[in-house]
Amino acid sequence: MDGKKEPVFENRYPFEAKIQINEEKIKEIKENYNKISKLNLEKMRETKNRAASMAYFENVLLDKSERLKELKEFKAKGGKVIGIFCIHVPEELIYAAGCVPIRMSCGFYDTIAPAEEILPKNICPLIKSSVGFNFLKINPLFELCDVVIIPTSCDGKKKMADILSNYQEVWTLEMPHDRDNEISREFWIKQVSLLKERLEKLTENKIDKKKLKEYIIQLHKRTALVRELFDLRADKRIVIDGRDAYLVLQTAFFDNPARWMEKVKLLIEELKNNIKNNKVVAKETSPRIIMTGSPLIWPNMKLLHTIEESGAVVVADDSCACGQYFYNPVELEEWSMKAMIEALGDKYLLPVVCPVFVHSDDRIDRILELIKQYNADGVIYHILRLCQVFDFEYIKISKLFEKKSIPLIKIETEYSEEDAGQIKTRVEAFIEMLEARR
Amino acid sequence: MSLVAGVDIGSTTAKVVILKDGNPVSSAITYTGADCNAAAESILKEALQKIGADKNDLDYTVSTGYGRRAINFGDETITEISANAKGAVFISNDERRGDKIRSIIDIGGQDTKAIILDDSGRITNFVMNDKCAAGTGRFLDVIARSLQEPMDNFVKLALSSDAPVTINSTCTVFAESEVISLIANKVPKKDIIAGLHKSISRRVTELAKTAGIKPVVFFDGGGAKNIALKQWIEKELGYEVYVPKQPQMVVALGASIFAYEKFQKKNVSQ
Repeated sequence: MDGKKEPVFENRYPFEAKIQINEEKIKEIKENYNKISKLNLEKMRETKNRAASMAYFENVLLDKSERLKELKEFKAKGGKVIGIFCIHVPEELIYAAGCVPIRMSCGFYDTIAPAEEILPKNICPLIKSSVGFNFLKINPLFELCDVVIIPTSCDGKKKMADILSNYQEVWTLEMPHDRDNEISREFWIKQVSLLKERLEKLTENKIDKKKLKEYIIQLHKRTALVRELFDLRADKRIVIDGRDAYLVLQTAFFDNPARWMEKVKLLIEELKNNIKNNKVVAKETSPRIIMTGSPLIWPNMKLLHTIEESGAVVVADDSCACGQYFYNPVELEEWSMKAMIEALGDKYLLPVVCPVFVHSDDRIDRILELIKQYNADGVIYHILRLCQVFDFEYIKISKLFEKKSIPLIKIETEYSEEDAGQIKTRVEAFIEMLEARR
Repeated sequence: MSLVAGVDIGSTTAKVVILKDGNPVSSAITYTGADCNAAAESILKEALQKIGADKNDLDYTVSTGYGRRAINFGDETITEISANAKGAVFISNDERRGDKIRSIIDIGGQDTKAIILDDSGRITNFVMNDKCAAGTGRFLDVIARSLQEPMDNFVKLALSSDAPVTINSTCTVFAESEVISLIANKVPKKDIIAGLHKSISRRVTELAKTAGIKPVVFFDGGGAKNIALKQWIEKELGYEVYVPKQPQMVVALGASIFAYEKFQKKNVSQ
């Protein structure tokens, strides 16, 4: 770095406070997590004609012991596991460095209360749960993380990086606020290069050009596979519901990618057959919904259950916790290191429809495209309470959709179940409204 | 001949409307209390008795309201939002000779809603208040009780004030303590009460504006019986709103119309 000091944060005032919680309580929260996961799956299994290949994804979610064993062995041989947040961390670089990324989950109500001890009150449940998950290690895979990478996306994520840096190694990945100019792009590509250097320092190995190309191609195949799965959902014969799509994609956050891809291929084959044989999970007349807004992260399936139990089906989404995460391909013609870094930078910046950027027009384009492509009847805009960026963008979208006569409803909620009744009324009324429009 | 019922189980009151061949012939209302099902059973019986009928005579029953699934009878459920729109369109055809309503404001015990309709009476948008009780009928009940004023007098006092105070709190619990400190400061009761009505009206109209409220506005729910609330809402909106003769029965009426339509469709297809 030309003798310049690497811009790494050095915490000069680490604070000693720990979440005051006993082992018993942590055990209870872990058990509750499994209980809620099982309850979710029980509800999802009620769907008639559900693909048998879903069993693998259910199992991966419920029983992490196999993955845990794999990663422990990997670590024993000197491998590094890297926790990542958001949709902006170039996983290809991590794999190419010989490390394994795990996307950190943060959708569990019980992790909120303990985390509130060291967090401000008025922040969104996702951040609270992220911190809770990390401290309590509710997901056993999180204990394996040597480093956590946090993109400086929303304010919550930025400040969470500071809080977590009291306890573990945190790297921030600094993001521009505006994507629409060349300077932002250059800035971002520098950040991606910096990440590469840090990974090389961590592993004491240079990232090999061939290795990077190999993983770019592999993850590109994963993207193609997810697109293939999503294309099936555009069919008028509905063979997979939204909840199952979320489940499949969220297991990719931590599963072995090669194995996961094999299993998704099997699922796609089965679903194709089901389309052929008209083995559908919902009536052709079911209102078709596009999900947008704050991410719905396992086990927070409340809203998806409500929608699909009320007779509608989620056919697509632009969520960073589902379709969008795997949607963008890497575009490149030349395989020099410089070209690859730039292409990765572009993949994780330009097409990413995250509301942390100043402008949201391409997010709107994306939703409009999804409505057309998936022949949707309406859009459900989920807002986690105090998720300001999504709430801000709702206004522009609602004005536009009103003009275009696209049915849209905003559902503002949290992880708790206390408003389940009110949400059910809103969602049912929205579905009745969609049915009456036909 | 057909006999159908619409049952609306609200958070505070339960209502029933009976239609004979599509025309309202009987209705009844009671407090919901702790047992939704018992309230619904008794109120349905009462409404049917008025026309010398019983449950076995009913061809189709549709339930609505927050307790729509807590009752043990009925053929179908519908949300109170769809039911409200159906009832309001029916009433405006009847009481207003077809003058088309385009929006509904509904102030109930637990929820406040704004519903926007198109020319043909179909819902194009709706919004509901947050999970707390501020801006609902319950809010005024709580404050009236803490001021020890019966509802009639509470409304009269609200209408008699020329200088309503500003109530800042949007939470029922905080507003109550704000009211208590205003009393301690010897602010006249009527100005406090008028201020409360003003504050609710502002919240409700702000909510309705986010949904895209436009005239003609139909105002229903238990809150529409409160003349002071109606006046303040009109002031906030800048135009008049229409309150039907029986504002609490609109949703049950809508459910009964839905039952009638369903029954007819069923007969045609059989």
